[in-house]
Amino acid sequence: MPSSAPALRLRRFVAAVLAALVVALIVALALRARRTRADFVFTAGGEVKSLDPHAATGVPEGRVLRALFEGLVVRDPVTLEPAPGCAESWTVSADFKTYTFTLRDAARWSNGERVSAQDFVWSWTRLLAPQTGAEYAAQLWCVEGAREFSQGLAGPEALGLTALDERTLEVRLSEPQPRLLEVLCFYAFAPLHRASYEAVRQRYPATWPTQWTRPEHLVTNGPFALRERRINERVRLERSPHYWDADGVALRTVDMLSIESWSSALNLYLTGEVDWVDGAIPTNLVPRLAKREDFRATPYLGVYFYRLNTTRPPLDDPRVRRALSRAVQRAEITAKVLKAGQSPALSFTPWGAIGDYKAPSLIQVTEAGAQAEFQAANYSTPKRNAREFPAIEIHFNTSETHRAIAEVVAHHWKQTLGVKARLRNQEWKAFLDAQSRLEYDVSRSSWIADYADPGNFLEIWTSDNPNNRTGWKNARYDALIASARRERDPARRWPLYAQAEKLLLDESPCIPIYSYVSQNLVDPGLGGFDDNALNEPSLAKLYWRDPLELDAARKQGAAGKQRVASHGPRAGLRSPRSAAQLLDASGGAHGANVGGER
Amino acid sequence: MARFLLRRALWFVVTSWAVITIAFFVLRAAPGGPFSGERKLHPTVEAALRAQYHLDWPLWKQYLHTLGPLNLDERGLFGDASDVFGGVLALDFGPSMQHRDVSVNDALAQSLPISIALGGLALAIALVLGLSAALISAHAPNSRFDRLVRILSASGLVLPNFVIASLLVLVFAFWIPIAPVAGWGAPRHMLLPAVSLALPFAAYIARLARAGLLETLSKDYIRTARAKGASEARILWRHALRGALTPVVSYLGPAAAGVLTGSLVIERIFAIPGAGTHFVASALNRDYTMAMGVTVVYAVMVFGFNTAVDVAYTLLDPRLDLEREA
Amino acid sequence: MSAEEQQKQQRRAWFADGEFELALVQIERERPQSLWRAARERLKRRASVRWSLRFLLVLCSLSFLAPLLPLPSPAAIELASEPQPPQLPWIAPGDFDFEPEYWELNALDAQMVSLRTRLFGKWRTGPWLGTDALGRDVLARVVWGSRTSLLVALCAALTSLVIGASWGAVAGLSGGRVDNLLMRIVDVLFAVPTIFLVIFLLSVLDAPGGGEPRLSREQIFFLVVGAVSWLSMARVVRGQVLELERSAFVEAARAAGASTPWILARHILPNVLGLVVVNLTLTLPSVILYEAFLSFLGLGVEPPRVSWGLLAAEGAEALNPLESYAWLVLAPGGAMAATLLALSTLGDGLRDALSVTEPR
Repeated sequence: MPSSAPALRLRRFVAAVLAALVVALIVALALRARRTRADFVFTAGGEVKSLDPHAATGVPEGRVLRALFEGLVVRDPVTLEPAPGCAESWTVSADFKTYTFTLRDAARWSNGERVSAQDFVWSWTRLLAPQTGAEYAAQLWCVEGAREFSQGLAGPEALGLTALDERTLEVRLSEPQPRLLEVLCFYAFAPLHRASYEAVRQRYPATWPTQWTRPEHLVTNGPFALRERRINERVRLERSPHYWDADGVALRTVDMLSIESWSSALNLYLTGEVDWVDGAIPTNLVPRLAKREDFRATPYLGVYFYRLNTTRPPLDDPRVRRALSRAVQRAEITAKVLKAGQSPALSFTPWGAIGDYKAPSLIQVTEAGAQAEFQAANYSTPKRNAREFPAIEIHFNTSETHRAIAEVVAHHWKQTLGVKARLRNQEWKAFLDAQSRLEYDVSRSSWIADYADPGNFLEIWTSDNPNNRTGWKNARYDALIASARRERDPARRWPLYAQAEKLLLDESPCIPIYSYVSQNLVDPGLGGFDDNALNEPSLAKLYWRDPLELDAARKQGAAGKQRVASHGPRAGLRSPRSAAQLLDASGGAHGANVGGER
Repeated sequence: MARFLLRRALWFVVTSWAVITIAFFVLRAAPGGPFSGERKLHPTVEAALRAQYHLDWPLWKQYLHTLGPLNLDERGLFGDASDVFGGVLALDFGPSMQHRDVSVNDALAQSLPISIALGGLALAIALVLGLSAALISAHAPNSRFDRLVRILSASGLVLPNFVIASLLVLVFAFWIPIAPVAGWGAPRHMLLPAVSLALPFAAYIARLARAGLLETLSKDYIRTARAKGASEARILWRHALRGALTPVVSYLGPAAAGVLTGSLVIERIFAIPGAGTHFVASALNRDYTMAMGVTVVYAVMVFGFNTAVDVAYTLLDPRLDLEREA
Repeated sequence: MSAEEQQKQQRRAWFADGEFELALVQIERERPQSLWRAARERLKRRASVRWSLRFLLVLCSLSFLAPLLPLPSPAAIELASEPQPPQLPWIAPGDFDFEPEYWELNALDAQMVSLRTRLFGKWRTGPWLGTDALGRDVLARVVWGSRTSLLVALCAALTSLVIGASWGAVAGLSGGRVDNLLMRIVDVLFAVPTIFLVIFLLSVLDAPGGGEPRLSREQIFFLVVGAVSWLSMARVVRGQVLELERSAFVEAARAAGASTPWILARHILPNVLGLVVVNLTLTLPSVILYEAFLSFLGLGVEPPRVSWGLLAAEGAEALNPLESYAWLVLAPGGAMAATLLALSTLGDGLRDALSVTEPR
């Protein structure tokens, strides 16, 4: 049978469809410029919420924003103490109400302009402005007139921010705030470049909020400038030549990949496409990874805890809450479920200590103690019959680890107290909604600090704090925290916090379970990666070790760890300054190594 | 044909209005909002944010605002053009509520081409694999070879795609390292994700096409062709394939809309910045603006492909008259 | 004389004496007694279908009788340092305290559990398929997980049948405006991203906050899956009904004066039923896979309950080049694969058996 007209049409149609597919494919592929691998690539969970330092919150955002912007002070990556950043020096008045900062002469924006005190005044005014909706604005409410301005009750004129001259910034506070420098280390208090921001605003009157942080518009003052941003894919940073310490920065390009799945991140790391992975490692892999030299677990300023709804009987009884808390055998959870070196939390401040601060009394986890508390409240325990304890529910958001912990906790409660606990996992937003409406019995939570201070943990339990979410209110606790805030001298602050924490643990609106560790997989060839309690290594300080240095570091490091090959030909990528020093010191002996960039 | 397409367009407007309305109210009815998080925002800040995205308005007003380029602020329905904040009719979905400095349009403009490229490749692979399996299998039905093909093609449908993808990574990226484990940027990055995306579709296409082929082969005109001495291969290729394509095409319509808008599972496992992620993430994060964007994209895709399918029918079967069918 | 009689008379005139009667007998002999009996005959002839049926029967009964089997508890945690690979032994009554830990079981299951303790005492199987990271027995989890997955499938099948098939049939039979309206509704629901509906149903049907949920999480889950799985059935049934309405034999029957109920019962229903059954065997696998997808997203069943999807998601997550805990993914994956393969073989068989024109 000869091919009929319809058959011909059919074949043409199929051919056309296939051709269209192929063309689409080629076009899509051709549109993408070829990109070379960055000097340093790391993954940071999901896509950043925003590159606007006033709008952003969260860990991945912090990583990239600290590289892009530099505030007056920055945290020293080893000690976490405030160190000079954009400001080279500062003076603090005796009453902790006036801070005067002197900016560096060399501080520059990525377009070469000088960073001035006026920039800070303008940026902080924007941060505080009600329409910005900045989460961290409240941290600056100690500034004169800030609270009123932020709540729309007053204009920005009365703000206690003055640029005395181009390099001098005066900050006047309405109340003593001895910890202002620690607060200012946070990326939200970085300056923005007013001229470029306003130019974008004029050019795109309707869409400027989504325009000004684009690579072609964003002007920054940190060690790196924004080169490229592709949503859900990567943020590429490039060393800023105008940064005041540009000579001290080794990496020329940095990629932050947005990768949701930890397994994929691990796969990329193992094939050398990523140099640093952090995140919640699947617990069954931890023992295996812990043997490797590139696995680094460091105590982290965060605590994992359960909230108890104190407005709901029977949890309104502090004896019941204490009993539940004392029945949870944290050590079993950290040793057998989590396994990465997390420490059992027997106080709300992590590891019972931050710096010199020591938690006053730790939770006594004993079966008898828990049962005694329960019996005091006249409830049955496996040993004695009394009132029957109603079944309670543990809420958690969907995650394998949360579930495992909840199962173990429920198991402990059943064994020790005979309490029946149901588990209930909820989708994230519904979970949060139930938590903030106090529609739960027991709800999983965690708290990560912004800076190393017990107050940063204990303040969430004051009566009106939006993060309290247990219905627990205690006037004495509020008073203790308020007076601790006003003290600068640790000798006087710590006892106040200690009293407050003792009260908190006595009342137990929460059950601390464990203190976090950061779990990093870091290429062994990477130098300048400082482990610290906030898991905030400074990207500006990273460099690639040459083989000699790597060997030396390995000899110093813990013995018996499994050696892992360092990936890539990037060995020996140093900052221009230290490279020059090395060359001087060694008389150029291994100059080939030092200068050897790929 | 023109009248058919016009009717279709009208229906499209009505249906997508219904789809948008359902999506709007369904997501708003789910508990939680875009700005809730592990750390609760200060009430003043949250109020400011909600005002910025007009979430403080009554629902009907938000709904109208979502629908069209209307300025409902103070000056009535249609305000100053520069103040008008997008809307579905203007095809401007505004800024994402989760990623506040990214506009939904930009996010879709970046991710859709990726999903379309990947999905297109996957569809092409699925068609080639599926149709050839069906042709081979129908050439000698119930033979040992046919059974093998049938089991193989069934096995593409029996495992969740995340299992298939994870296994493919393990085998072809680590044991036999011929493909990158994940990432996006070079053509080779498409290899594993496209194959894992294609396998279930290939399997389905093979089943449908085989059944269609066998049915067509029992028709009279095939007997005529056989009687005239046409070779079996020629009969399969020239005559039977057309009949077999009808069910495949009607399956491909909706399937293509799904594949080309991306697959969350594949995108997550292979770290691909495609559009599938936005579908799920916008719902989970209550990112209302992004959700509206993906809803419209999906509705357009579904309708586009359904119409394409109907047009394709006329090519496959000239007896069909679209004017009458519509 | 009736029209039929007239026709008979006419036809008789074409044949020689006696031949007509002979032809009638022959037709009678060749015509199968009923469509269903013939289909059953054809099904029986195929070994693959027989095996699939047997497998599915065994699976269903195993799954139903799970509480009766001497398996370790699927929920009891034994915190070991790492997942254990498969081992064969039985575990004799030892020093461990056997108190089976389950979630809240219904009365029947609780009865079965107590019967099992009476039957087997403390004997139970060893980790035949290994254990997971929390020391739970994978075999027990696969068997108990089959309950969720099969129930989800069953539920989706019922909704498909009840809502989907009748929706499509009504649309196809009524035609005109009703048909248009009904099918547009299906179109709209098709074009709404399913995940939106799932999240809405999950969160709205779930009790807000702590109190007693209105429906158990599992029931909600079944509802959700059912709600999104009937659409394609509606389309297929409607298409088939329309085609049949226009087909030559229905037109012929109509011309011959058959009444509408007769046509429905005699011509349309049997043909549609075949398609419905075939479509069901295709819906079931896709629903089981959809359950897996939801589990991957973390929207699956409530722990400590398990489902195959959840197990497969956990297993796939555990796959990695450093230490592949292969049994964690192979066990649920194998169970799933075997079941879905059996279902689709059965579907193929049914389609072939029920199709009016038998393929070669």
